[in-house]
Amino acid sequence: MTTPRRAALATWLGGVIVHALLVVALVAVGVFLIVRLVPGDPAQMVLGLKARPEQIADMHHRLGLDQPLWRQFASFLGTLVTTGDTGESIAYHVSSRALVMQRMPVSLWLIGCSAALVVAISLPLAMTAALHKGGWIDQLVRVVPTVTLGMPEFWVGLVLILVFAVTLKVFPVGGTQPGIDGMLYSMALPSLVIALAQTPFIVRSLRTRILDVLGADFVTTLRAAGLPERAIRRHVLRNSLLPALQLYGMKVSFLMGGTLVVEQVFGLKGVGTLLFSAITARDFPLIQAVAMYCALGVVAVSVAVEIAGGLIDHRVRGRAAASRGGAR
Amino acid sequence: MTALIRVRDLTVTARATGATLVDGVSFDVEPGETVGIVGESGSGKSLTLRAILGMPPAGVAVAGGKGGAAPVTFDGGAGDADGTGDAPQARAPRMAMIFQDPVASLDPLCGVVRQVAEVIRYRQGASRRESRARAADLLVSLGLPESLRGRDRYPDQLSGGQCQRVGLAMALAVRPDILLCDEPTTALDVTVQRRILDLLADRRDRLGLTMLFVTHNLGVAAHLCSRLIVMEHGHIVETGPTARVVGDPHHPYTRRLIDAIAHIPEATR
Repeated sequence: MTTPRRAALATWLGGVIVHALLVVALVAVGVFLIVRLVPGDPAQMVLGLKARPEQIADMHHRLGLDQPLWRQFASFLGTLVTTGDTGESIAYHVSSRALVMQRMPVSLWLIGCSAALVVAISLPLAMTAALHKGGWIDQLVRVVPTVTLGMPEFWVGLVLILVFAVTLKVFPVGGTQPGIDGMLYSMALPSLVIALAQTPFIVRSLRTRILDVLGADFVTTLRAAGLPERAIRRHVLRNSLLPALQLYGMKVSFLMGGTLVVEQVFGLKGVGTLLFSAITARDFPLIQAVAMYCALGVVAVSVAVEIAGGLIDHRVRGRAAASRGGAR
Repeated sequence: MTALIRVRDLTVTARATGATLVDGVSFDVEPGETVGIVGESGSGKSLTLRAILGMPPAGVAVAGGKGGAAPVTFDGGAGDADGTGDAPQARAPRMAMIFQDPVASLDPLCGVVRQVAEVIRYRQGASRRESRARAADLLVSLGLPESLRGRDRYPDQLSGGQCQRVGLAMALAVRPDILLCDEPTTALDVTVQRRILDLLADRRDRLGLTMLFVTHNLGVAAHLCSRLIVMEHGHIVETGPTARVVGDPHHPYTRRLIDAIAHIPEATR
């Protein structure tokens, strides 16, 4: 009895992972092409217009541009697969991968904390708004986020610093502090800035969906059966979660390379600032490394969202297995 | 004998338009009786049922007669039709309802045993484990496969008829005195309809349920009910024992409903 079920589950999970690997492969090709697609000569761009021809030739050699294209790709892929690296950074003269890895923890902390805040803010707000549809709470929940959405992140960040760090002195002005508690302490304000920018979309999607579900027949059945309100809400919430989860997955994907502003405002050494300096310095190997690891992050998030979706809704698993030619 | 359900001047209006959907309907239901409310869509029969349950749909207002008397009362106690009055819970009979669309009436993301078990847990005060076992017993006794004991199924993995059996289990898990049925067989195949009707009759007789059965199909109602109430445009146009209403209809609308039951032409028999 459990064997076909396990098989279906394995088909689904296998499909998700194969899908992710395909995306990673495509991204690798794209990242490889970054250097070739840049208009003009990348070596010239790195060295400037006054560079001597032998310097240019030397840079061509370092970037591997003097090789035929297929060999360039082969060696790029070879290094990427074996060492996870994209070559030595031109500006820092160290492994690009090491540079990215050094910055990754701060970015992951930032995104993780903001995700937790988004959930903590969105679920109760959307539920309350939907349950009091048309009431003043609902209006407030719908209007206030739109206002904060109109304010740019750097400004919200500065206001939060001014209020909570300078005046009230409850959170640090910027930077990071050691240890898990230190990290949480330093991430409070920056992750709040990111969360505030994301919650309006999530709350809206969730509220609409909750209203739909509240009108569904099965809610009437549960009410008629005399279940307490909190039990009914559990059913409603679970049925409302999927669209918001998928929306959030997309939002977080944008976030992977997009925490730059927040990192700047709070003086955090994350991937965003690294990417910024890499682009300014035309540090192609480093740009490739950042792009590659951000893409890996995005793929990891979408896999996580897919799996979470499958845990919430069994039909997601079934559909995936069926559409990927699973045994059904 | 005193009536178990007493409906007096029940009026339901649409809040938005002010249109009267149920217009001063009154009737009694005695303990152990099965009463059918028959009429076409828009006759107000389902609204009447929902008003009795105390869960009118959004956008309608329920009112009683003059002097603010409660439109629905039970067993002598005060009714709780609009959900605001405080009914004497100790004396009020327990009600449960089964619905028209059996699949949509179940949470699609929740296994059916779990759904029934949840009702048992909250309404009968059983432990998680105990209520799960009782839920599986109940479902199997209502004709669902034994395999449910080992492994739960989601509503979309069951047929419409099986889902309606689950719906009945959800209702019976409340341990009701009164079972309200809102077109429970309309969405089902004809062959399945008959089996569900027989199951309902069987449970009613075994558990001594009082039943209110809403349908647009006079044939289905006649199969199950001892007394019929015929409704048209929010009014009761005819009421009486089933045999009398079907055999000797007084109102032209009732006659039309009887003619609407499909007959197999003599020639093809």
